[in-house]
This record gives sequence, C-alpha cells and structure tokens, in this order.
Amino acid sequence: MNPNQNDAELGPLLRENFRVTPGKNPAFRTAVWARIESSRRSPTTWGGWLRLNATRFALLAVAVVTIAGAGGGWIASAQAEQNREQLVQRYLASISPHQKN
Amino acid sequence: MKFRWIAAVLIVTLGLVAGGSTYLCLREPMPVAAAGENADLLWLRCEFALPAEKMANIAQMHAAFQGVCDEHCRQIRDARTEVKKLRGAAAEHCDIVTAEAKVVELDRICVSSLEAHLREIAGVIGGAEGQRYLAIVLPRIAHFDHAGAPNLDLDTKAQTHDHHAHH
Repeated sequence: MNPNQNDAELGPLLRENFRVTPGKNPAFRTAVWARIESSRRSPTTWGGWLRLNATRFALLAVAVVTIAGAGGGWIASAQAEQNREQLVQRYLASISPHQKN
Repeated sequence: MKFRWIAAVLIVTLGLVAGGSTYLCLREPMPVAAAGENADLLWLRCEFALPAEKMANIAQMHAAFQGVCDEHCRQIRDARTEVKKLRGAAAEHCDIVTAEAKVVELDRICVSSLEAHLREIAGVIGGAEGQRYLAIVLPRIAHFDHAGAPNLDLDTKAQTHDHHAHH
C-alpha cells in the first residue's frame, strides 16, 4: 500500500483504468420523492398516527362498541328470558306435574 | 404497523368493556326464594311484583288446589286401572268403552278445574296483570297431557306431587 496520497501518477492511472458508466434510471427522481413523502407522512408517535387515522379509528371503534354492546345486551336478555321460563315451568309443574313439554 | 396493532388492541378492549358492561347492566340474576317462601311461586312474585298479602292468599289457594289435584289424580288413576283390568279380563266391549269414557271425563274435569284455579289466581292478581298472567299460563296448560309422566326437568317441583307418578 502506498501511504502517499499525493502520488502524481495516481490521478492519471485512475482516469485511465476506472471508467464508470451508470445506467440511466428514469424513475429515480420519482422514487426518491416518493420515499421522502412517505417518511414525511408516516408518524413517529401514537398520537400522530391517531390524528392521521382519526376518522377510520373512530368509525371502527363506534361499530365495535355498538356491536359488542348489542351482543352483551342480547346475551343478558336471553339469559333473563331463560331464567324466567324456568320459573314459569316450575310454577306450572307445581300445579300439575303431568305436563309434557 | 406497530400503531395499527395498538389501535386493534384498543378497539378490542373497548368492545369487551362495552359488551361486558351492557351485559352486567341488563342481566337479571335468577331470583332466589326467601326463607319460608314457596319456591314454586317465585315466578308469580317476581313477574307481577305482588305484595305479601296477595302472595299469601295465592300460596293458600295453591296449597288448597294441590289437594283437589290429588283427588283428581286418584280418580284418574283408579279409572285407568279399571280400564286395564277390563281389557285384561277381555270384558264386554261396552264396559271397556264406558270405563274409557270415564277416564276422558275425569281428564276433562281435571283440566277445567285447573283452568278455574288459574282464573282464580288471575282474579287475585287483578286487572291487566291478571289477564297477562292468564295469557302466559293458559296456552301452556293447553299442552298439558295428563297422561304424561311427571316432568322431572327440575329436581324439586314434583316433590309435593309424588303420588301423581302412579297415573
């Protein structure tokens, strides 16, 4: 290895032997700008993400809460109805045990 | 991507909380009979919110009707035994028909006395609630088959009517 950085022969030698001919990429600029835009848009905090997706998040949350609430209510009322029916059957059976259900 | 997962977990949690709290708010636990209360009449107290005085009246009528029911059961049992005996002894056809008619008649008496009892109870409940009581119980007793075996779905309800099993 030659430690001398100012070797007078080095410049001409490199010019002579290293020729770089890169292929032309027409989409290069677009791709670079797309990456810049993308990194600018993707938030780095949860709050930022939520602000960006507020509408979608709110709609989904409302839908899930509505469905889950309705489901919970339906289960509770079905269970109450089952309990009531059991009590009715018990009452009727105490009057006449010969009922065929 | 990480934020989407956080959002998903949050929404699922919201759903569970919403569903759970709605269930807890709307659920009605199975009522339990108070000490000394006839558990068979629990439905009447819970469904119609009857005062203690009316409940006591109904409990008395209920107990009294069980005696009537016992008597009907005994008569039906005897009449059916008679039919069996006549068939076994290859008795005259007209005797068998008469005995069978007696069974049918006793069944009819049993059903009509049961209906009368229910109407008396409805009278004690009174008003629109009494009518609602009849609307609930009458269609159900229409499906009663007095020839059927005692209903054993519930463990305690047939205790006072054990002898009916001999029908």
